[in-house]
Amino acid sequence: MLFLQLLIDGLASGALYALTAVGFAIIYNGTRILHMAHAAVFTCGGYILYVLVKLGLHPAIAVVFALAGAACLGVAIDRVVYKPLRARKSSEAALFVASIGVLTLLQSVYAIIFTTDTLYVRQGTLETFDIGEIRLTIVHIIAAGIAIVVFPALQLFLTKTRYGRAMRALADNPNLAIVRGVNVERLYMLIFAVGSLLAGFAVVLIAYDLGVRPEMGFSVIFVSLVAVIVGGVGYLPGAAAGGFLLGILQNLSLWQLSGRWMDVIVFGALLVFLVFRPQGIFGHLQSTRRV
Amino acid sequence: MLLDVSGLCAGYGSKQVIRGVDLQVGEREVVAVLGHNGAGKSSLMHAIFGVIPATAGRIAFAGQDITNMSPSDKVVAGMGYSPQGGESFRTLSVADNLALGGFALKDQSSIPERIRAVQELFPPLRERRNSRAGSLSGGERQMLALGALLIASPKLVILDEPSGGLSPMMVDKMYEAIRNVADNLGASVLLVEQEANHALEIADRAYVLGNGKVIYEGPAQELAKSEKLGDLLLGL
Repeated sequence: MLFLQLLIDGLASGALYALTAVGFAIIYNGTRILHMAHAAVFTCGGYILYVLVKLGLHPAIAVVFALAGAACLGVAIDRVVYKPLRARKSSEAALFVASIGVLTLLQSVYAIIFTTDTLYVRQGTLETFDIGEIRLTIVHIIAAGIAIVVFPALQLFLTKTRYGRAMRALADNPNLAIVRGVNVERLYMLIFAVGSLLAGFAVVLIAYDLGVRPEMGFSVIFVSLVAVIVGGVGYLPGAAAGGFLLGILQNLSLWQLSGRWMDVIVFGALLVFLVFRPQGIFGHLQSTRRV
Repeated sequence: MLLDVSGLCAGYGSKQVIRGVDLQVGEREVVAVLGHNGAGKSSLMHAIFGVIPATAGRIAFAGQDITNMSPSDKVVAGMGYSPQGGESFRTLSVADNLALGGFALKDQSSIPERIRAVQELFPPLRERRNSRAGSLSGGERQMLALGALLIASPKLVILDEPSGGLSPMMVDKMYEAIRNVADNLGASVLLVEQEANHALEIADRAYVLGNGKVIYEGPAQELAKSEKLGDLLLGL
């Protein structure tokens, strides 16, 4: 029974990793920016939720603002920081360093405004539902609900709509996308908005469950990055699968090991994949993008 | 004149590759641009489409000055460009590739109908609509490249080596299709070729480039018969 409980816990945290990992991957595939500041966008959503709930707003409305705020911050980082660098034809490495700069800066700003303490969004304990010996929390249920709605909706958007198709086209062959009349700068805004929105979905649940800290996004983004590599760079369902896999692995490790081993598991998986299967689980399906 | 290029200069960075080119394409006309390797054929197409900026000269299209227009605005204005190698979005399906051909169209609702028309012209694009473009044969890929352009019903299609990588039989079919585009779909064609014979058979007029300049212009038939053809193509 402990095993089953841990599996369910793993699926729930895996769903949240999958959201951030897919958001991260959408941005990387479309723009080739290793957007580490995604962590700060994630955390920002948590603080917006915290502030608005403290101000007495209904949590559901606060969630809407948190999602919108995360999307706006993601787009703003692209416009203010990445766009000028792009215009100067900066290398991927320069953009990566810039994104770490933005992450560090925003984390410091959060710490100055909100202190480095953990701030709690909810009062009292989590609502729980017992089914036999299995305990489901409200976070499990909402995480499942979000995953069941958001991933199919994203799939529909990417395959059936004009701009979704353009996003996949840009990831596949940016020069041809320009030739087809795609306004790349405008599409970048959409890509950052969608990717950041996915991080927003994850953070509102994590903030509700565990509270908000300035550096809370950092470990989540690292797990997401590993999930992207495990699933195969360039393949979005792979990033989602990688997120679920890592969430489950982390939680199942609690069966035999103490919680301190969770990060060891994630980075162990990263090393195993980098050395033995750098193309990821689904590597054979991966895009053959020309750089 | 549908396309009127005058005194066009362009290059990559400080390296000038196109040195004052004058070129015209009329309505429903097929115009071939020939020349040896490195003569500047592809660069000229890049400059006309706006992939590289013009440093001097003027490009007019359908009576409008488009010299400094962005490629995406040129697509909206009715110009389609297929880069060398018949490029497609390899990880996307044939159907998605065709739909993306109409990305810039104001009227998105007409795309399914246009896709059907293009599939009539190139039946393999219907049969393989759900296949990934990367899995197509060379001939199918060139059809897809041309077909995706036609979705936007352009006034002018610019094709860079549409016969590249094709078997001799497929080359004939491709050229037949290109002539068909001008005769039956009412679009003009500006095409770049390394291999002159086929292009001259279907073209109305031809230009030969050498070292970034026009070194011959005239009716395609005349050039095909000319004894100078070989020398011109070698840039002599």
